[in-house]
Amino acid sequence: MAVMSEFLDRGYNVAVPEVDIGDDIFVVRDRSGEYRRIQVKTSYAKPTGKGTSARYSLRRDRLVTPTAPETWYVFVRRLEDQWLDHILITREQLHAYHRASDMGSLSKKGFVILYIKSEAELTICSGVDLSAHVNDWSDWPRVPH
Amino acid sequence: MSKLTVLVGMQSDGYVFRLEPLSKRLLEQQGDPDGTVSSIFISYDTKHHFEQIHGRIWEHVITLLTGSSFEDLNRAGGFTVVDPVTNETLYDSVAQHV
Repeated sequence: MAVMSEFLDRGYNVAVPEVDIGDDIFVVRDRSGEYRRIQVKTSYAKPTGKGTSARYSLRRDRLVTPTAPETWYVFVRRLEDQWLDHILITREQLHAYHRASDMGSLSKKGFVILYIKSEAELTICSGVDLSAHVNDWSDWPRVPH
Repeated sequence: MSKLTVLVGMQSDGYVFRLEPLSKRLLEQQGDPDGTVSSIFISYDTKHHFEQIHGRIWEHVITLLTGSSFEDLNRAGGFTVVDPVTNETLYDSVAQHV
């Protein structure tokens, strides 16, 4: 709901599939009809000594499979009673990090496990700097109405 | 250049093609040519009709993704089309033209 609210606030429309087909929500730019698939991943962040750590489990088959339109992941973190900054990243970029930088570990059941850690302004996962993706709404400019 | 890999996703309405991340990185390191696209969607109908007249569509897909001709790519090492979920090789340009 938090992610949907953010997209709505930016002027996009949001659709939720009636049947679970793998994508959590579709975000639609009404004027052009352009839509994108969004996978929302939510985790309760745990405080560490210097920041927070959140664990996510992604289906590997969805991570490695190209889609049209491209799929976006939005990583949501809840720390006690507040939301931390969202992390927005395309499936393609996440797959590239996974393949090229060994980001995440593969579970026996075919899931990619990510631990996203934030300390001050730095957000990393398996040594990959994800800071540029934190609150990166640059691909979702506000739509004037 | 080592063999490039094209990943294919099969949706309800067609195929989606993208270069595998390491293949994409390899091309970027060599200098991305102009006129490439990052992904291609082809409906099942389109593929079927196209291939009835023109033959395999993979060879045209790789040209759009890389900017290089099929012949040039084969000379440089070739390419494969792979289902990333099953790791099944759907097409191997070198094996097809031996």
